[in-house]
Amino acid sequence: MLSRHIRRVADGCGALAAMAIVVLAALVLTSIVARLAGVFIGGLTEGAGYCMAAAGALGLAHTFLRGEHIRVDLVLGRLPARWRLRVEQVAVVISAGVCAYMAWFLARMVVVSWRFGDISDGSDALALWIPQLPVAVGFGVFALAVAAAAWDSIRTGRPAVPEKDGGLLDEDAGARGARH
Amino acid sequence: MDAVLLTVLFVVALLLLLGGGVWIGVALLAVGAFAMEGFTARPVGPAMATAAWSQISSWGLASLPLFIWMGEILFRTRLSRGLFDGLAPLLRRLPGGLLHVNVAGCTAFSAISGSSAATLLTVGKITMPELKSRNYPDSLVCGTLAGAGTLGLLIPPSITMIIYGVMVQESIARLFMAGLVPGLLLAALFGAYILSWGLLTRGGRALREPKATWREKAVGLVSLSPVVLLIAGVIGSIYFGIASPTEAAVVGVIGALVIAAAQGSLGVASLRDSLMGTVRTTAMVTLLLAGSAFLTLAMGFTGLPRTLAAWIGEMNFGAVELILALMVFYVLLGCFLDGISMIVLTIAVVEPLVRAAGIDMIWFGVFVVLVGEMALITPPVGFNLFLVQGMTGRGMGFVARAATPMFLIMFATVVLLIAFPQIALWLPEAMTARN
Repeated sequence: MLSRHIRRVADGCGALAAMAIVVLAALVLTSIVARLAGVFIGGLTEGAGYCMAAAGALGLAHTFLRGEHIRVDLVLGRLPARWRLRVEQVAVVISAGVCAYMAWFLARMVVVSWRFGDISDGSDALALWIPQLPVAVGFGVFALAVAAAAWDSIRTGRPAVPEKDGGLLDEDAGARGARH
Repeated sequence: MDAVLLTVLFVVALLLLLGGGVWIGVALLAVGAFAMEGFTARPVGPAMATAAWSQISSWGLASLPLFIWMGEILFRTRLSRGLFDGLAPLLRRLPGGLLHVNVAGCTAFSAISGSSAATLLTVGKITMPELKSRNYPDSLVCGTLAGAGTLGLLIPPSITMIIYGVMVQESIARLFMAGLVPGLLLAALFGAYILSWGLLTRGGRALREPKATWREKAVGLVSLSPVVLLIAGVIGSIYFGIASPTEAAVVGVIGALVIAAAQGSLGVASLRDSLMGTVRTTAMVTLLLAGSAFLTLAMGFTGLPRTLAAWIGEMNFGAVELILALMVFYVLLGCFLDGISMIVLTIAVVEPLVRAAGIDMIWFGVFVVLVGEMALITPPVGFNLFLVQGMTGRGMGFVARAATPMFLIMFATVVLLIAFPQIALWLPEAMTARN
């Protein structure tokens, strides 16, 4: 089944995002230590920003499948179940389209950076396509995950939006209404 | 096309998407694309990709996952128990007794965690059962917890402040400092409310806790020391200009890891859970920021914010009138949205208006975050109300009524902030002067 593979890819990207956060912490720590030691190491601040972007983008699909992206479900919650399903399917299809559009143009940005040899403004002079690539991949996998959710829902008639499960803020069932 | 008509068109499109359940960040991208495609001649796709990329890859934003991670690690330790054991002997003799622990605990925890939900849950899971077993009135227990749980937004480090700072390109260090005094003022006012309940009502006077011995107080201070050290390390290093917020955040993460290791609550599983929780919050914010960055850019191209700003200028709308109008608008919006969503949804249009009116953007950050705090306890959608409801099992109506006095106190704080802008601006100015 399509969505099982998507889930595996999304969780894999989520693990990469977690690694990006650890690397981010290591880079910032290095910059503190280097400054205390009076040594200058270029590119650490840029690197931290790139890790942030990579972590945020690679985590998108995993977060989506756990139902933790913010949306307003005040109106939806008041619709009769059949209507709710239809409206949600439309919302997920629109979202998949928007995300795919975004992912496509992020991918184009990577190709343009690569072809023209764009380098970062900072002291690192890193080829920009390298840090841009995980962002494009993250949005691409996110778009796939949303599209798969739409497709599954239309085919099976099950709810299109993943339910939130587990995690820090969901010790209490009461948290449900607000977040997803 | 007429500016008013255009505004109405965009707002309707946004409302339709949001009401239909499209994720907020995605809805912002869609409305931005619609505005740019329909009303400007510029290519949409490349602008969208560039806006998102440059917004989410900034150094200032890099502090966000670190502060979230710090809170996630501490959430999984026994720190909340230590907080209660430390604060209770120090505060319980005051009129209002252990209710003060709700406020003081939330204040302390929000100084080491950027999230108001983590603050509320961490403090509430300890204080709630203790207070209930001692027969404190439910309405006060729920109300003070829901109210004080919002302090995480204002007291640094604050996720909302980081997001606002990145969006309007203001110094996050200055924003953090600007939020500190208003946050403490709000905490003091909550405390004063509990104090007057303890002094003035019959139920309050009846509930006096026994005096703590010196030994109990000393033991309490020791169990508070890790929290105090962490707060001093993080906030102090930013204030004294030793570290940028991102650097202070990594020091905070290390401090949190040390505390967790010392308590023996640092296993592979809890470390992994804390990281994955961080990934999800970071990704959630990333989507919002990508959407709002592109919408801001697209709105700029349509020229709509400039037109609105000029129009407000022509109406001889002063800064105070604008702020009062925005306050009403945000309080209404806050009934349906949380603070972060509220800011990312409106900043594209509101920022040019506020700048045109000559309002200090640091001050405005404190204002909008404070109003965002109020949004957490306004029904029908108030995140803290949901959390407290989940913890106590009481109905939404009960919790919302219990939180009403806290809402009024916050409202009074906003009025104070408007009347005396120095409440927010004094500390960042002092910081700039010394560094």
